[in-house]
Amino acid sequence: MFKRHVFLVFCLLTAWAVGSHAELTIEITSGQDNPTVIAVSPIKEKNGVLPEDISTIVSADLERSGLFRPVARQNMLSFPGDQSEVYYRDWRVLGAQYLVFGNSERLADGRIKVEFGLAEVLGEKVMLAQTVHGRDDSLRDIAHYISDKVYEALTGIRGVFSTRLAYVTSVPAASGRMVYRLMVSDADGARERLMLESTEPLMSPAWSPDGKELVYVSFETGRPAIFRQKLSDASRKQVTNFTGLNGAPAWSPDGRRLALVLSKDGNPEIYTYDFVSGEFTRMTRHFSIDTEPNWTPDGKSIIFTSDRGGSPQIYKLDVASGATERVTFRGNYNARPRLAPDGRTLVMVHRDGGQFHIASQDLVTNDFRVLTSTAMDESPSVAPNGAMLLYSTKRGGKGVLAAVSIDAGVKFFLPARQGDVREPAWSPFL
Amino acid sequence: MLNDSALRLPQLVNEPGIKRGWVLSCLLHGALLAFIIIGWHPPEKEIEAVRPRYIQAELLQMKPPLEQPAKPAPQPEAKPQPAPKPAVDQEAMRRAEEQKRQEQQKQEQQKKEEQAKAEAEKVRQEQVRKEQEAKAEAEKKRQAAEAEKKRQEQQKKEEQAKAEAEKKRQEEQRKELARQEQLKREQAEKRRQEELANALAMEDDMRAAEASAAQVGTYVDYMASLIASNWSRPPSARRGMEVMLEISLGAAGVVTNVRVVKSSGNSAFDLSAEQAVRKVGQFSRLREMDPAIYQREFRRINILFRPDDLRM
Repeated sequence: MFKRHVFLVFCLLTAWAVGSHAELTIEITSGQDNPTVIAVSPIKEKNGVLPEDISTIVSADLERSGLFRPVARQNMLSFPGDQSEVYYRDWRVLGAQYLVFGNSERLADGRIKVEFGLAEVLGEKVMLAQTVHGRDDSLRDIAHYISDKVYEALTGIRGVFSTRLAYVTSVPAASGRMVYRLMVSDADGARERLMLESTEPLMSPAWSPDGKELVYVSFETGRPAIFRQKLSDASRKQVTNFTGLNGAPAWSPDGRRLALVLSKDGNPEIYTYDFVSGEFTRMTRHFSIDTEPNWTPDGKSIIFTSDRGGSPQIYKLDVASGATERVTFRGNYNARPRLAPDGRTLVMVHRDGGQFHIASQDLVTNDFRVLTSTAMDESPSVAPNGAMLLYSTKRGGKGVLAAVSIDAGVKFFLPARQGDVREPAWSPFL
Repeated sequence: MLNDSALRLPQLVNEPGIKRGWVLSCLLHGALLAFIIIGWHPPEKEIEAVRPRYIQAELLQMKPPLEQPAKPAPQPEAKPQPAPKPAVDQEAMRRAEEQKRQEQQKQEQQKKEEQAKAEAEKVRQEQVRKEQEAKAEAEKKRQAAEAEKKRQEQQKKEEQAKAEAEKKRQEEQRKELARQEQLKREQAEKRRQEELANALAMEDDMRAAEASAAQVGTYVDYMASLIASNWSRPPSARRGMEVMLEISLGAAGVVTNVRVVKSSGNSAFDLSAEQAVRKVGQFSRLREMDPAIYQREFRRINILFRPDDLRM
């Protein structure tokens, strides 16, 4: 009886399914991936002008992602402060698919309250509405927060506008010597902040997984040494002081260890350093050079560069067993590996016909792809959302930072700085 | 020896006593033989002769032959009526007696005459009655004949009417039959034509369906390319994601409604598909198509978004 009922239900479902299939179905398998047109209406300032133009920051954030094309403010027909002031027709004629609107109010205690919303113009509905509070000095944070929310709502990916970048600049000083600076900035390059200045080279900055500290290599002692430094108070601490090479530190995902390169035993090898026990553990034993270690997101493996196969290639080392396997086989130069947060997309510096490009390889499908068209690319660093990566390259004889989306669809340069900019490191989510 | 014994028998016959006995025996045997041959029917013949003939007795009822012998009877009686001459004494007595006898005779005669008269009257009456009867009979016969004739006529008429009716009925039946036959034929013809029309219609339909399929295909391609060129996938889009939208089209191919029927699980991906359709807004070329096909196939369409050109 039960069986029969089940069968009947099955039949009905089948009939329903078949019936519903009678409708014409069109299948879309490709797209143009044109930027989405979005209008970011100026934040309506209810009392007093804000020191920062939030909507301009939001607009720039979204545009920089490569996925959005903001509507020019001068073309806007109205500046709605809230939902009731939105006339969808005004935005439809501009070709905007989405509208970001909002208002700000300075509260009695000096804080600033910002209300914002995201509306779908063609569907004529508000998708998102939030209120955030801040101070004069956190208006950029509010702007990036809005950008993150809009980006996430429309792309399905967490935004990285509130993350930070660390990088090293080198500027020739008046004395003729170079001045090296370790800098930290917002993801959009704004609010640059000096962490360390040295006349000796600074190299290989890397973020702690909580985003509160940096590790880097400094030659300030006359030879390379690894330091860790807090962002909050700029306090620092030397981690290694071995003879020979001390380089390429990488913080483990659990924050307890560092992977690094030491040549204290005569040949550059991969080690781990335990912050708690203070112990160093040698991970590789090979007569060739093993360098540039980086943790897999699960913390179980370390990927690194080695020329043990005759040319620099990327290998993967199982931390527990020490088992090592080669990962890259394309070309005769693949180095400086970094893994995207998905643990699947490997990015690296790939030499192709004498030029160095950033390339990616899907570790599951082994799909290999050169992402950049610039020539002297180095030091790729993947954004914590995995959608984009930063790298340094040469432009007009100058070292600059550039970004490319992980699908190579979006490419842009970060604002030019004084001097050379190198070795960018994208912070984790903060 | 044999001859001897054969010859001995005639010798015996020659004996005189034996000769008589032999004759007697022959007679007796002959009589017996005759008796046996003819048979024995003793008293039956007598009984048959005595049997009375009852059938003949019935004939006594027939009376008419009585009239003829009754008439001549009184005439010979009346003729020898001489006037009696009275004799003296004896004469007178004889005369009186004669007179008496004559009177008696006269009375008798009278009686006889009356009787005869009555008889005659009776006969006459009988005759009349008979005549009347015959007449009545004849009348009756005539009437019967007439009635019969009438009846026959009536019958004939009726039969005629009946025949006519039958004829009419048959005619009608024939007509009805013919009519039905005609109707049948017409219906058959109609059916045949309908079948033909149906077949033609089917063929038309098929051809139309083919044409429609071709048309549908063309416009589906058009819509697909238009949607695809307006589809910006979010970076979170991955191969294998699928979202099914149902779009409603109003007049002139204007998108009136878009809704997600089957989500990909990624709201941004779903949204991108929805936006692709909304950005198109109007599939203007659908105005060129057969309105019937448009109504039937394009007012509500499912659109499946399944990127296969993505790297991941």
